[in-house]
Amino acid sequence: MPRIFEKLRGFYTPVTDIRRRVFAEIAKLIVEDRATQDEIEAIPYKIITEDEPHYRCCVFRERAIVRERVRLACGLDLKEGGENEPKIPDIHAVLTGKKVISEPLVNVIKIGCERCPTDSVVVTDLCRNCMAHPCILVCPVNAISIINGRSHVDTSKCIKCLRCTTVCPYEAIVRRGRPCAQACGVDAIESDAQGYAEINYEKCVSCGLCIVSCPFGAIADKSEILQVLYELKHQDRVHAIMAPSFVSQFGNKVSPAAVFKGLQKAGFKSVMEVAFGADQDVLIEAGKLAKILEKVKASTADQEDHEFLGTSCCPSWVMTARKFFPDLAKHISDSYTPMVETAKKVKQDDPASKVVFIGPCIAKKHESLFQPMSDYVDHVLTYEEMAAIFVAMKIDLMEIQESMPITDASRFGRGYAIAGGVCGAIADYTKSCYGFPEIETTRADTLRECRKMLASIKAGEIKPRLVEGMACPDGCIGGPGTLAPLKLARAAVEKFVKDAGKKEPGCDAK
Amino acid sequence: MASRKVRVRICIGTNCSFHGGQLIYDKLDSEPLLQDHIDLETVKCFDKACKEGKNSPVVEIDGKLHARASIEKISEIIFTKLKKAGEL
Repeated sequence: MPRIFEKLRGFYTPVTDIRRRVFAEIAKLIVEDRATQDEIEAIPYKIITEDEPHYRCCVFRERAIVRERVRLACGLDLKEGGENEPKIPDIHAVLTGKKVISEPLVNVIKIGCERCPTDSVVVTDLCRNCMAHPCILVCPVNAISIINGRSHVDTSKCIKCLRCTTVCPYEAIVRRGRPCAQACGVDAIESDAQGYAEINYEKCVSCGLCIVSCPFGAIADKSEILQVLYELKHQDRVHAIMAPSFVSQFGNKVSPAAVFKGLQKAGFKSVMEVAFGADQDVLIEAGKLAKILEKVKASTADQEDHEFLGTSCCPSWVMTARKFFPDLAKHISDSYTPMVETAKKVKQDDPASKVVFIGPCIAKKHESLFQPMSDYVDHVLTYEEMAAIFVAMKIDLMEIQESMPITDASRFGRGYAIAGGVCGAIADYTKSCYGFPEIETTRADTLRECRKMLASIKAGEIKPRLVEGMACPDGCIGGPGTLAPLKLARAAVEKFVKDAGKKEPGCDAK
Repeated sequence: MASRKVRVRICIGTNCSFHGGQLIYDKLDSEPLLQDHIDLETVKCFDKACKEGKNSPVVEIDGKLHARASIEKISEIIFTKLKKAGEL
């Protein structure tokens, strides 16, 4: 069974279509120097052109939803309920190269939310009211009875053990729920008084998986596409740094070199692999891990507090550990993410420049809002947003023939894009350079699994020394800002790892 | 071996790709029911047809161009052709 966020993946749905067209329209306005208030307010009318609605009750609502998407895509806050108006009077504040986005990054567009039924077990009309009625027999809390010739689940009693769903010979009993809430690994999606989905920002870690799981496209994140385009227009020292998962994201026939060349055509002065920062990260984390292992080796007594090193490259995972397991969070490394390490290097070489991170990640947008990270990373784009810029600039990556060597990183850093790659690289380096033959390692992807993993560590069921957590399914290649299907992305990254010309850091680097 | 193959060419230039061309290609390429029945190719661009942008993605089936293609439209055309030819 695919997990909830994998069900829509790989399809170009009408939700994808509207999202991408909004990005492309906004990008076009800046590129063509037409970004006036009137033009931006006209976008919903360009996207919803027909008189008859396609997905909602009327075109007016469809356009109102697109307008909210336009607001978020420009970096503005939502304006909802009675506040919603056909104008976007505050647009001038965001027509700038400065950073304008602020929390909350991930937003429920309430007029787009269809108030899906919340998590419950229901009997469908496949029920035959059979004589055997195993559902009633198997229910541990007597929540099922026959009402109107059909089994009925009393939701006030039901504990969602799901035994009835597995035992029914007609598969007539199902669990239904909100895709957004199912996708959320930190249970941050709640309901407001009217039943619309509402994000509890005390819990939300901006992983963005709800965005790509809502079949109505009612959740969206803020974008910096407009501000990046302003930077590119008015600043000649804007550098791009590309997350390790970038290979194949702009089409599997587009070579990594063509992507780099394309970015230069778009106006970026230089392009660097974030895998460079990941290589640095391996050295830092391995040093920390070695210290822990030394300490454990030296102490004879079984220590009360189980010491381990948690990876720090996924901001959503780090936030989850801090919010849900504050007592374990001190074991998560406090080093910078590869994004920040790489940006730091770029800023060292060109201090007055601007750095734009391009990746699969919404959490990185969140990370870059805060100091000291914001000193190094000026803006964050997803691959999808970058592709919209290519489209607006009429840059066709398929037509780029020139090649260029890409040699910023070793196989270690490039492997960070796939779940297991981070702990693999750190363990490899620690083993070979610090002389520890065995390192107990455990890892998890998706935040629900990460929480289970931390719970078992807390309970003492597992005693790993190195712990990798990733918020997205299969790691960064499964991120919400990706364009390529998972299988293709994995194969492409694996090849790019193998092709790494740069040697991994030697033991003298420690 | 199938005697009648449908020739499908999909534009994966950046514009068409962004508007769904690449995903149509990926879906058809990994569709087990079509494995022996289509000649699937990617094309850099159908020049005029997709250069304007508003037709993207453009897909060509047996020589006929289809603008603003979607996976459901394209599969329907392919499956209809194959059924008519008695291949499926």
